[in-house]
Amino acid sequence: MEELFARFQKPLFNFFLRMVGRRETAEDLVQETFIKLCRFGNSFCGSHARFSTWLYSVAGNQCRDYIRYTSRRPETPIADMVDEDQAGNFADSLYASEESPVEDHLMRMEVNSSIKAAIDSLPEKERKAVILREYNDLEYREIAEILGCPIGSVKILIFRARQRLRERLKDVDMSL
Amino acid sequence: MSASLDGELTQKEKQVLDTHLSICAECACEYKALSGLRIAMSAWQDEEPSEWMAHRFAYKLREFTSESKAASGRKPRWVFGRAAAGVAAVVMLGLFIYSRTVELQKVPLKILSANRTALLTPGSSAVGLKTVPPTVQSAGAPNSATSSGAPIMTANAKPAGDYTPRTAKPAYKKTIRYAAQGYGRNHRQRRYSRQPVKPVLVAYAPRDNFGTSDLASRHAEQIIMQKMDVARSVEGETNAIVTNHLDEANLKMNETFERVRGTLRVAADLLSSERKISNDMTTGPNGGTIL
Repeated sequence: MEELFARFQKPLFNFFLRMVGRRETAEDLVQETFIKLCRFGNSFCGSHARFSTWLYSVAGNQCRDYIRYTSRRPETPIADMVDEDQAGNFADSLYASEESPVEDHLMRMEVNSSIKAAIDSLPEKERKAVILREYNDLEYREIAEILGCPIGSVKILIFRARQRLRERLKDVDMSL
Repeated sequence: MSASLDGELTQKEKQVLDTHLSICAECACEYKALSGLRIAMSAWQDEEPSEWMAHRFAYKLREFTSESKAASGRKPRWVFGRAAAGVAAVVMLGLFIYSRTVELQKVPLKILSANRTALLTPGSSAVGLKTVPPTVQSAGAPNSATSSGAPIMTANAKPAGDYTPRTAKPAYKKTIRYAAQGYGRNHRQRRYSRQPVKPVLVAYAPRDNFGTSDLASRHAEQIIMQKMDVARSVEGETNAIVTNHLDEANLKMNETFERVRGTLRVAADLLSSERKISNDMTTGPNGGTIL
């Protein structure tokens, strides 16, 4: 179990981080996914699907349940506030970096936040499909198994997601 | 085009697409835009999880394994024992509640007051009416019940033989029984004579248990409901106040973030302008170095 955790913790963490947007929540969801793996790991049949596909489908269900839960109980995130230590480190990194100028760094941050906001604005299924394709490098067949829909639906979801993202990001300078 | 960027097309489909893109400028522009989007999205790089996540997971895993061991180690025979104990407790509780419910008791006609005779009218809350062998009615006593259509029962109906009850409750029971059977209070008469008695209807009146009444319990229920309504309204107000405070805090936080961002931009602009000035000073207007 420790080996599986070491191997899949980073991709799962980034998947949850891109879906829900908060580090602490993403870490909690990763742990809950692995606990579910301990509990229901017997139900995995290796002949039908890869283990990573099965793991991502469990993760996708966790994500969906969390989004439904928070949509009924909206929260105000207090932990996202930047505390003094983090602000100091950020200021130091601005001066210390000689390779990337300050303007480029700030621009990159701006672009990242724009991409994040654009992806957050997508519907849940499109967001999941595009994140699994772009950042987890899964094939259409695997994404179809995870989402529980045909491959044709996955193609349409990804195409529509990219259209929406292009529309939202057309004003942002992507030259970096 | 989207599937082509992801490498999901077959060889034949790719050839068809390439042929079309070479002809159609609009689709070629669209394809270029999509590939640019993919490159831009790759700028959002992965982040590392915190160091504590692995430790927290190890702790949770230990807790989970210890719980599962404890669950598997339980002896199954106690499950049946506990279930049986639960069933027995439920049965006892049901018997206790049944014994505490309203009991029916026969009340003789003589002790019925003006209030209780209301039980005998149709639609009253009397539990039930039962006919018993009638008692001899005194001559001349008005049968008010028949005239009003109510069941045949009056306060003037007398049982066979004169009798007066010694004590309140037990005597009433005995009296009715003897009256129904045609016996007098004098037990010796029972052996020698049995006088016919006219059937009378007797009313069943509920016996109060421990002095409580339906009215008192209804009053208690009303008080409880009022208190629950008050508690609900207080909870609603508290939730509204907390939500308002959270919204204000959120707004202030957003304002602070905007101010910080603005300050950082100004600082960045200042830095870039300072660098430019210092570069100009060292290079000079003609491009040569001054120092």
